[in-house]
Amino acid sequence: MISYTGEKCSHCIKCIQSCPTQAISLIKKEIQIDESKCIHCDICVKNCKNRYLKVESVHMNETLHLHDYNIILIPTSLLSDCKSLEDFEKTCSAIKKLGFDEVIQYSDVESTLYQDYISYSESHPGLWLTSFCPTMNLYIEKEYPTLYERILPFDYPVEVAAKKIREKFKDQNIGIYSLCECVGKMFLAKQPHNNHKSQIDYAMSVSHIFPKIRKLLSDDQETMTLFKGGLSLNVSDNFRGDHCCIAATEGINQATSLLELIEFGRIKHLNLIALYACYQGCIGGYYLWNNPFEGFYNIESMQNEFQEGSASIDDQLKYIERLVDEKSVESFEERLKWFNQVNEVLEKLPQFDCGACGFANCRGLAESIVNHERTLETCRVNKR
Amino acid sequence: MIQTYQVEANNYEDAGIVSQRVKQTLKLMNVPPPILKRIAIACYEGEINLVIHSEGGSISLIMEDSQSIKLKLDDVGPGIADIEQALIPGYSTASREAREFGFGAGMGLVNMKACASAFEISSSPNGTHICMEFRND
Repeated sequence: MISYTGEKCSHCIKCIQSCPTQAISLIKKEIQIDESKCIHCDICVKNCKNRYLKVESVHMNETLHLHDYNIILIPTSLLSDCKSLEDFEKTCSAIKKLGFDEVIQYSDVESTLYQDYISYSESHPGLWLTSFCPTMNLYIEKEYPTLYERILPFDYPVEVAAKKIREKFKDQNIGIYSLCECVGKMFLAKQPHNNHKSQIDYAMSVSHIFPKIRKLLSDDQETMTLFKGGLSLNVSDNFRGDHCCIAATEGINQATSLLELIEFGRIKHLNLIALYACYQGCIGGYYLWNNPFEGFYNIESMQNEFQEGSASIDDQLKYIERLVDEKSVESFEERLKWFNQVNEVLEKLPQFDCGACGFANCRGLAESIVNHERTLETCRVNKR
Repeated sequence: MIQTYQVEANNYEDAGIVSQRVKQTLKLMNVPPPILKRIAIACYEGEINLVIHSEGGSISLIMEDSQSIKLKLDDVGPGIADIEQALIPGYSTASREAREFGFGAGMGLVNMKACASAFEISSSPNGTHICMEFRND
């Protein structure tokens, strides 16, 4: 999870106030993130001006020797940081020199999935939501439960790419690394964030290895083949293509507006919506060093380098079953009682949502009071 | 538990805000998604009706037990002249202004009735009263 290293934290509570799911609170002078609410977006990380909130990467020098053969998966969005295909191939060569046996780029998998998204949404009635952005999937699962079943039944492109590799290297001791352009993707790996369901062993952010890559850059190139669907999937402006029944949203706010409309039955003429947590799509990922606007220019100027075609992937590698996490849901009656208690306490609070108590809003504090973790005294405004 | 929200007539800018609050409450209550979906749509349609057609009114969310959640819509007029006609899909008396905002397709009451497990409506020039019950069926 997002970790807090804030010995010198000034408790400006910007992270608390900016969190879209009210997952953060200040408890005993420490920022705490409720993993059951966190959607792994990058908003708190960006809003912490001293950068005390961080997402840990795995350290290669501790893990490379554990496997006979190490493979690193390179995200397509990394192209937005490169000036040309040649530049990208040099970067990939430098990444390989960090100690990997193979660098694999998975825009072929993305191309297949991109075509699958479109054909699935055309052949199955109703409105579908894309499944490639881990943050948006978590957001829908936690905040829009009625729409969870509308997320396309496909696994993440990077997971599918990892499964393909596992199949190829059956029974061999391989290590699969995923290089991540965004915070959300960092959680799709066994380490360091304990996602045991993942086929990826280790996650590292682009900025984590960037200083080392710079030193290793030379004229050596690693030949890379790029596929057009990767361009459509990673750049939100490209997702739609010529389809008028497809839309794309960028950022949590835009997604929220649209998801609200869908829940109220107001979207009638679309059959597929691509949801990106980052601006401009995956090229707006927090760990890329270029800005997404320049990145868009860079990646677009390389579009002739992208080839038609896609990877052939077995259905069992692509499809996943989306099971609703059967939490120990309290009975309606218990919940109603709790809810009434919270509302009673809320009436005794100022309801300015100032955040001084360490909760995002007065409701957050009221819930904590009802759960006997806090008292009315915690409210600084009431104290005066 | 009863929560009542006021809906202002002709306030198109804020139309939908009450439905959002109702939906938020239902999510906090862990109401199962299939039933939540129906209540959200019915509430939204009802709220839009109040904004377009009424002279103002209120929406009450009534939750007593898990077997039934009710929505009550009460407004102060001008009432529906012919309820039977208003329940025909596509029939609308919405103003041009409302249609320009994309509302007034004549499906409001129809959708509400379709979403609810039980639907009661009474109307006079003094106001319209709708009670919808949602059961897990």
